[in-house]
Amino acid sequence: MGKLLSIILKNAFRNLLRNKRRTLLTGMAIIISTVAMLLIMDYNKTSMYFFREGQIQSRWGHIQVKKKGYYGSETTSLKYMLSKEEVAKVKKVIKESNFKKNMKHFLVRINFSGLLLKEGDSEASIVVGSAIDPQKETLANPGLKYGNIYDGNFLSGQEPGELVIGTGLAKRLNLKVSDVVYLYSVGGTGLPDIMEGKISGIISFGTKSVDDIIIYADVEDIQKLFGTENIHDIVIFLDDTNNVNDVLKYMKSKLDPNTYEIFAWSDLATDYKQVVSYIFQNFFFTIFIIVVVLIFLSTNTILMSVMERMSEFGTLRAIGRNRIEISLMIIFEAIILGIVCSITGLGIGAFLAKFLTSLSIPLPPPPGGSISYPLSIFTNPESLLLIFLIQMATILIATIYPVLKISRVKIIDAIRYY
Amino acid sequence: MKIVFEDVYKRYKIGKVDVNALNGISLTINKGEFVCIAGPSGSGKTTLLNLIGCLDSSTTGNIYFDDYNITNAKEKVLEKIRKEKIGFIFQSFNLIETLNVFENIEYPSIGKKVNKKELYERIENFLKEIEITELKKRFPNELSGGQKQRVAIARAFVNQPQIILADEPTANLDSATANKVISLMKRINKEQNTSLIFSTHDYEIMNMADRIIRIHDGKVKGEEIKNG
Ligand SMILES: Nc1ncnc2c1ncn2[C@@H]1O[C@H](COP(=O)(O)OP(=O)(O)OP(=O)(O)O)[C@@H](O)[C@H]1O
Ligand SMILES: [Mg+2]
Repeated sequence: MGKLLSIILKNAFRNLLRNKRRTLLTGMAIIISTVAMLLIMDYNKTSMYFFREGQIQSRWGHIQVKKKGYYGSETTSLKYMLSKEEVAKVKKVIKESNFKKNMKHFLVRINFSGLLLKEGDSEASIVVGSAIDPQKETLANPGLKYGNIYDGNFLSGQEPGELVIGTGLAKRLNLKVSDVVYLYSVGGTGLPDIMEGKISGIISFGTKSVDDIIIYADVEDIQKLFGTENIHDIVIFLDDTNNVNDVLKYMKSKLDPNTYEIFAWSDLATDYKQVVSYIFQNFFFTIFIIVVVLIFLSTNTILMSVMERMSEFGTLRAIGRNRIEISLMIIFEAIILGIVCSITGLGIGAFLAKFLTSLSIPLPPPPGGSISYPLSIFTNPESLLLIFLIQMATILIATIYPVLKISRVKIIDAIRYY
Repeated sequence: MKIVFEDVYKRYKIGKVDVNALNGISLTINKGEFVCIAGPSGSGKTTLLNLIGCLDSSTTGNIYFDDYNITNAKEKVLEKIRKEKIGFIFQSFNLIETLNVFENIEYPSIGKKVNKKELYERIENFLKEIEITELKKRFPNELSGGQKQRVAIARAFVNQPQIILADEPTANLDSATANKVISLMKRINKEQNTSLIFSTHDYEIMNMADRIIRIHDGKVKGEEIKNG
């Protein structure tokens, strides 16, 4: 058996060298498609990674804790809020656990809506906003301070009544930095509460529907406005997205499910999932096209080399070698070429990825994100392995037709074939 | 192994035209016999050898190997016969270009349960006798026609088959080498009781055979028993 394998392998190697030009042609096709696949796959993966991290950073945090019953109800309802004690309890649970070191930020937010009015103007506009702790929030998401601000500054947390509004909203109400405004909202009393504020900055997320209504306020101001000390969301940022499940599991085991509802970012970010599945479909289709083209090309060149050797295969059959052995010769040749060329392709691809990343080519920020990243393609072992397997499958599929063809030819026809 | 042909026809279709390569051949070749198939070009010699060699099947008629009818045998059975019972020497050498001389000769015995030492000894002896020992590592494209033919002969004999089929085995050899090679083959024929079935135009070979079967237009036209 070993002897047979060795002679089949030897034969396969020598046949690849026999027609160097054709081997090179097939080889180049495998190499180029491997490089293309790797770059496409890892560019998409890297983009999705940045997109995910951007979404987490700018919106969801890693884990959110809400009052039981709040999720799914009116977002601005004051009915389901967490008290100061309840918030402290959550913080304590993490601080006293092994996950203490994994927690980077612990924020609280109130979600509110209302009407915004410019001083001395009769036109009002609906606003939907987030009341936050400016210091902590900008630490977790520096984009608010640096990336998204269009004019003025983000909330400083130093002066009461500071407000930051979206560019669309500013345009509609003709508002500029330092303008005085009135925020009407319905608080705990059921009657409209009014807050006088000052525009400290104008912000843009690049999404019109958001920029038309968004408003940021200091959580202390909104608590005062509503006459409450409660908040809606606890937003926890971890050191690494990979730790979400562990921390989530731990928190769920420690916190009373009748009081708290605990979410991973992925439970909340439903549009993130849509974007990812869209990117994935696009990407899958591209890989599919590359594979199909490669199968056609390789089938063709393998067939050519097989037809040329038809009389040799006939001779082998005539001296008693069977079809399986002959098929194995063809398959081994393809496998050798596949292994050598896809590994070469992966090497070149990984190098190109590194090189392109090192150029730091600027790209616009991902949709909904606040920070823009330069063109980055990070290769990882999973992609390398996956592409290697795809390529091996591709090249094996390409041998099917030639193998069938050679198996069907009658021996005497094969011997006489020139 | 005794070979019996019973009214065998072989028809080829070339487009719409039927060519009767064999036209009702009946013959018997005994175990250990040295038989020459003689006949003009196109008379059906190669076709006959192909049928004996299980490379092709007859259109009608029966072929028996030791009373076993191979006419409708399965490919697996034919494969086994080809591998174990038959050695083929082709008209145009048909060596594997990517294997060197030694590998070409060794190939038919690969995967068989044989004594490696004995096998290699046999190959070495054979190489010595047909004077190609020093060509062992060469590839077919580095050999002359005669050298190729000798490798092809060695390949056919390595498995110690019961039947050696040779299509014009000496067509590409000078007469001195041809004589040497045929003498060697004849010696093995006698020592191991291997049947030799040659197609040839060569009178010298015919003279060494036990029997000559003359065919013409796919029919047996006569036989000649020799005693040499
Ligand atoms: N595969 C084939 N397809 C069609 N016709 C064939 C085939 N093989 C042989 N023939 C025809 O059958 C007849 C006998 O051919 P065969 O090759 O057996 O003759 P031969 O005696 O070996 O001739 P030569 O001495 O030239 O080698 C010829 O007419 C040939 O054209
Ligand atoms: Mg012939």
